Amino acid sequence: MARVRWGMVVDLRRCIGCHACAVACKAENLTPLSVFRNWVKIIEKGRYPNVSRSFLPSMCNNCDNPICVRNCPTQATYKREDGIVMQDPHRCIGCKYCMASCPYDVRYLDPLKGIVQKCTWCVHRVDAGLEPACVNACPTNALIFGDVNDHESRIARTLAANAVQVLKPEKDTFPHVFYIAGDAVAMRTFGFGEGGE
Amino acid sequence: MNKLTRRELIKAGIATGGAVAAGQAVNALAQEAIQGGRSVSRTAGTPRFPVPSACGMCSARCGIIAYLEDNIVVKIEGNPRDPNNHGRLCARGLAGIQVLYSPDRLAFPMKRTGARGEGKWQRLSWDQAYAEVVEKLKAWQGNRPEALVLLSGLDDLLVSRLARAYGTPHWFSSAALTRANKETALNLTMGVSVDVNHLAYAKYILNFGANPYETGQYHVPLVQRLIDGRLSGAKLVTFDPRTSNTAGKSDEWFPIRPGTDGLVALAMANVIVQLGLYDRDFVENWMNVPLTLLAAHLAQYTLEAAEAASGVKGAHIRRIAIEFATTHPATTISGGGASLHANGVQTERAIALLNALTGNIDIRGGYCLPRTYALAEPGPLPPDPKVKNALLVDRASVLASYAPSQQVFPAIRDGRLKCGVLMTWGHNAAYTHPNTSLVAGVLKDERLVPFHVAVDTFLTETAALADMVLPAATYLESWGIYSPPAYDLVPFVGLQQPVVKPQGEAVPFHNIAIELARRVGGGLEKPFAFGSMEDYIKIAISRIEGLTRAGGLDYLKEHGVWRDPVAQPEYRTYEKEGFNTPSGQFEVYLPQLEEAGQPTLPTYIPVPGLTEFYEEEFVLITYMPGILAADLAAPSAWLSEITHDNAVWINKEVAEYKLIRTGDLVTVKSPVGQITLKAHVTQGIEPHVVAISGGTGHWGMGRVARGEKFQSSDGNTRLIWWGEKHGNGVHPHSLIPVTTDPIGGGQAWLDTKVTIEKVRR
Amino acid sequence: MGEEVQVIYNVFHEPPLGVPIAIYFYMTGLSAGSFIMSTLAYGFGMKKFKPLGKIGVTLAVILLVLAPVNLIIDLGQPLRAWHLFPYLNAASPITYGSFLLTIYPINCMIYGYFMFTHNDKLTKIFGLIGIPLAISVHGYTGFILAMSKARALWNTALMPFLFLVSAMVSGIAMMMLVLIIWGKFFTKDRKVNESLLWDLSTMLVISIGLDLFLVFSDLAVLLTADSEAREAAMLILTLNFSPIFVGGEIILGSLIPLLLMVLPWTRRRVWPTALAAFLVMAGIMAMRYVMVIGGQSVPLS
Ligand SMILES: Nc1nc2c(c(=O)[nH]1)N[C@H]1C(S)=C(S)[C@@H](COP(=O)(O)OP(=O)(O)OC[C@H]3O[C@@H](n4cnc5c(=O)[nH]c(N)nc54)[C@H](O)[C@@H]3O)O[C@H]1N2
Ligand SMILES: Nc1nc2c(c(=O)[nH]1)N[C@H]1C(S)=C(S)[C@@H](COP(=O)(O)OP(=O)(O)OC[C@H]3O[C@@H](n4cnc5c(=O)[nH]c(N)nc54)[C@H](O)[C@@H]3O)O[C@H]1N2
Ligand code: SF4
Ligand code: SF4
Ligand code: SF4
Ligand code: SF4
Ligand code: SF4
Ligand SMILES: [Mo]
Repeated sequence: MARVRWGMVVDLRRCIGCHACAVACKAENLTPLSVFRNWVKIIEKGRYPNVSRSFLPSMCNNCDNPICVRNCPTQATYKREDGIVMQDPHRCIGCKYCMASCPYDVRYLDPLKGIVQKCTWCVHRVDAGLEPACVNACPTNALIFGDVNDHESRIARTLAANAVQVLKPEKDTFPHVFYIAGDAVAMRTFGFGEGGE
Repeated sequence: MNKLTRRELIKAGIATGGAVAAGQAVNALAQEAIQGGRSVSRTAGTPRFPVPSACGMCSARCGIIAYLEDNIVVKIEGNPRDPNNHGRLCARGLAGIQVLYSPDRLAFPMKRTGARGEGKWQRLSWDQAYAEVVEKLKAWQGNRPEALVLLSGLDDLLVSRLARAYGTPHWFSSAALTRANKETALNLTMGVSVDVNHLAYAKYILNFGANPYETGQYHVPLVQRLIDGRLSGAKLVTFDPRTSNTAGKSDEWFPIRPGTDGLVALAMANVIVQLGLYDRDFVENWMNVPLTLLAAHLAQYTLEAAEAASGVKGAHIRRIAIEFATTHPATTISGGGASLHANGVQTERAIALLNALTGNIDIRGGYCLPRTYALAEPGPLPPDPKVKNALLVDRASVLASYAPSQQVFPAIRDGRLKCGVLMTWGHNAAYTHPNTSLVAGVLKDERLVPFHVAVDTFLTETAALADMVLPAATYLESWGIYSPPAYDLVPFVGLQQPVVKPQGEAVPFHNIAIELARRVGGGLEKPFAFGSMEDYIKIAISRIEGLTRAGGLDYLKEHGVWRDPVAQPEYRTYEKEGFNTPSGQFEVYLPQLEEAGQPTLPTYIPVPGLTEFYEEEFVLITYMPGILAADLAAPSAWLSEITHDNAVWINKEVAEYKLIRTGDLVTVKSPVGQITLKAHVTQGIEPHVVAISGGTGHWGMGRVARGEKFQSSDGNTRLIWWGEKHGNGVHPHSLIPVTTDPIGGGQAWLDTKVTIEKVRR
Repeated sequence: MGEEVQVIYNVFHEPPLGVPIAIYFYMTGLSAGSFIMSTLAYGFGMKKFKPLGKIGVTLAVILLVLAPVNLIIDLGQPLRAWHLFPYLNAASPITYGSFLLTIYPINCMIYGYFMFTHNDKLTKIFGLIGIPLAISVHGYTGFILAMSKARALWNTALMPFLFLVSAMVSGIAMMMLVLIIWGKFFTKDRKVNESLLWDLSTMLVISIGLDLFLVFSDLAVLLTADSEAREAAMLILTLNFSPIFVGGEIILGSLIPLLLMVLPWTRRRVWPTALAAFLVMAGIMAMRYVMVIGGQSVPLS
């Protein structure tokens, strides 16, 4: 039987930009204030009256070729066999080089503990046979989690049936968060600082 | 549960969840039961103790499961058995835990020692507090019970009973601030209080002023099915003056000038009738007006007239009308944007008419009637008060579903309403009502309001001005029983049960009402003789045989919700005994409006002042950002961290003309007030309109709501970063005068004319 | 694409490498520079540079003791710094840095000890051993930035080389200042060893030229690469960091000192040269700041 390789699909046809995944993550992992394991980027584009909005939930891509793991001087961050990039809170010295190396800004220094943390796909839930908290909470079922190597799983069938994109493929980290119907403008990085409503 | 390997469990959970390829309308969540209903400790991985209940953060009442570790709630998740939200929650439902354990909660009863609003309090025991309140209530009970004025919020199950038992007609609900106009329109037209849009199976969804991607009376249940419907090919068309998240993702968005939705809807109705695209069967058999008469009435609503007033091109209105009439099944959805105007009732009547004309009433994928269980009320029911509500004197308002809460404080100020005792139950009028300076002025005036008791969970802007404050428990600490409209059209019952003991000395709202009734006596105690809240609920569900057979309250305590396992949705239910209206039909024509001096057929009444725009004038609309609620969200740091301040949206061309850039400070002036806040220059708003969000700008509600960091045992409170960096927003309500829809009595939130000027630095 | 776009909501985490890291880079640069200057005489037998020997090695050691302090205080868990050794990661440049930061100072002290005890042979040996260590102790810091794919401004093969040249430039400038101060205040005749000073000044002019060329080629490539790279270049050329980069690093830190050391009426005069050296040192600090902090100011999401 093929090795388990977890993956996440974000179906942007279903996403309503409601931040429930971000709040579910804070509730499940008690992520401190001012730092985020996941968040929902919202952009507005076009000229009046042809204006539209796009949402982009972002989280650690648990990459297959993670730069963060390669650059960590103490191997405090390491990739598990099933693809989840873990953080060893006892070994991490908080040098933040993994944060400097990750192209997606998904790592943070925990202001209360002085170690770096990240989204680990709620590994304590996955190991207990449950979906990550954000997947469980999403009101419109836009997040799909599962074993991409298992052809019968919903995620494998979804990946087979839909064109998907990843963020910054050119960085060769082989991200495992796959976006369906991504908006190229929202997936681009630009501008300095947030616009705000 | 047998030991499934980790992969099988997730695969099975997911495999049965099924909706894979686009186009499959199978509700992916219906078979989620095996997956949900479990949660494990973050550290030990051991299962957490689940207690099912109902969310109290908004009227949708989604089923939740509170997970506990050593009797402390550590996580709130959705209850997968709930047929409305299928185990899913929105951001606010998930953040309810921070309301429960908020360090800003009121811990004990308090009495003011300084002047009102000075913030000097003295702690009281509950007995002392009850004694003083009882004394004040007894003083008026005998001769002028109508001197008791009660304002209640979301949880007002027993507050109206208390008012009637006491003999006062002056009970006002916060629901009036929102649902009054739409509920009145639906009640008069079809005898129901809400339209259930069966979106998962709709093929065309026409949206007037709703923002389901962010808000909505039944937010999660509705938006979940809206998305399933869209993935099965439904088209979503939205009319909204600004690019809300819904408008921004709609297939077509038409920026519309505020208060003109009714005219656009009537112009569409005119097109449908003239082109003969209406459903002959429904129009001839179920409408209480002959088509010829209706057609003649509608003829005045030409595309040119609609374009001139609304700013939406006549050609678009015509095309959308034809699409709506020729795509089946279809339904409208409508929200605050359509009804929170001085012509809100007429607008909602026009929108309802569109569904009737096209035969989409109560069909699969259409504009359905609510399926709910009627919950019995324990006897003896208190008699109706002898005196009439002072605010319901003119004929039109007699038809309203709610008494106009927003008129309470102007009426007290003008002497139309004599107040001896004011009780605010989870109703933060000083913050949620229009013209906040007027409200504050009245609340501070001891001549106008001799005694004010605020029953609330937080020291809200209103409680801060009260004489006495009673700490109310949250929904996670109290009982409740609900049968919300079923979005899969099979009624069900949801239980709200305490998941933990009340924090501090807080007492659930209902128990305060029961205790007060008992202590005041003099007949007030009789309608409260049902015993405890559990007894109340047992009686409330007693007439539902299936539930009683399944185990009644004990079943609900274990599963949270009950639904008839074999029942299937039925359609065109009006065909059995007709509509719940005097004529038994869909009442397009309302004779009772004649004597109230209001048009009997759905009519467009221009909102005074909104038809012409002088050089510097704009219409101010307010909206609720998705992540916040009027009040209960601000104390949650997780929610406030995401949305904590606001700005005034200004159309880019208009802003460039006035040399305003995003971030510049702008002064917004209305006939009743002025505020200064940042500008948000955007392409996404109609040039004659400016928009400001509500939900922020708290000056009460505690430190988290005000964005103030502080030391506490929880390290997070000193990490509250947004207050210093962005401020906590500016509340727009001081700009909004009290104006009321003459029929529905609802507040016209979205009709305020303002001017905007850049602040010269 | 002229599409009108506005970010309504997004999250940016604090830039991970703060000012202490920029200072650390600056100090290791100065230390490596002054060490190499000191070995010119004691390692390569260039007698002329003998006066720089002792000062050079003392400064190298002091700076190399101070520099890591910046690193340790910047750690989220300072008491776990020792983890860098037992849990080393051969793929991480910081692992190499950790070992270099222990071997190099030891070597410096041995080299200094033999210099002060006038054992020229051993001084030469440890001097020569020290040169590759000095180059790599500062070169590795260039690799830290270069091997982070995340930041367009850093992710270039030029980075180690740019760091080394900056180390030389700041090292020479510091030596010139030390020479002037030593000459003016700590010698009996209050006279500066002018011939050595002018040699150093020529070396500085050449190094600055090389530095400017590297900076120019780096920016030229960035401006023509993908949008993220172009944005990074624009950030330091025209937007928020331009005062420090264009004003600080380029004009004040490179061009003006060049002129001071080349124009006839200021050339080979002590005080203008002192001013030039001082401006160069400040300019290289600006370069470190722009590279570290500026490099992390282009949003990643
Ligand atoms: N997240 C969240 N959900 C909530 C609430 C909350 O505070 N937060 N509150 C709950 C409550 S109390 C209520 S009553 C409901 C209300 O929810 P809804 O009934 O959906 O009403 P709103 O969200 O207030 O407004 C909907 C839209 O109307 C637009 N609008 C304004 N004026 C006009 C107009 O003249 N014409 C048209 N066509 N559109 C217009 C606004 O831009 C806004 O986007 O939401 C409930 N759910
Ligand atoms: N500008 C503008 N203003 C608006 C609106 C708008 O669209 N635009 N919307 C209006 C609408 S739709 C509404 S509904 C009103 C808000 O109507 P309200 O129902 O007044 O909204 P809240 O104040 O959030 O109600 C909750 C209040 O009860 C207290 N409370 C705490 N815990 C509980 C509990 O467990 N149960 C109960 N019952 N109460 C509790 C809270 O502290 C808070 O004071 O806002 C109105 N304000
Ligand atoms: S919870 Fe779901 S719908 Fe909401 S923002 Fe996250 S992914 Fe999108
Ligand atoms: S997204 Fe960043 S932190 Fe996550 S695995 Fe990839 S490189 Fe590492
Ligand atoms: S902060 Fe921790 S996880 Fe990140 S690179 Fe340093 S030691 Fe490794
Ligand atoms: S998978 Fe878990 S840790 Fe990652 S974003 Fe979702 S809730 Fe947060
Ligand atoms: S929609 Fe959100 S706030 Fe309202 S009941 Fe459901 S989970 Fe709670
Ligand atoms: Mo409401």
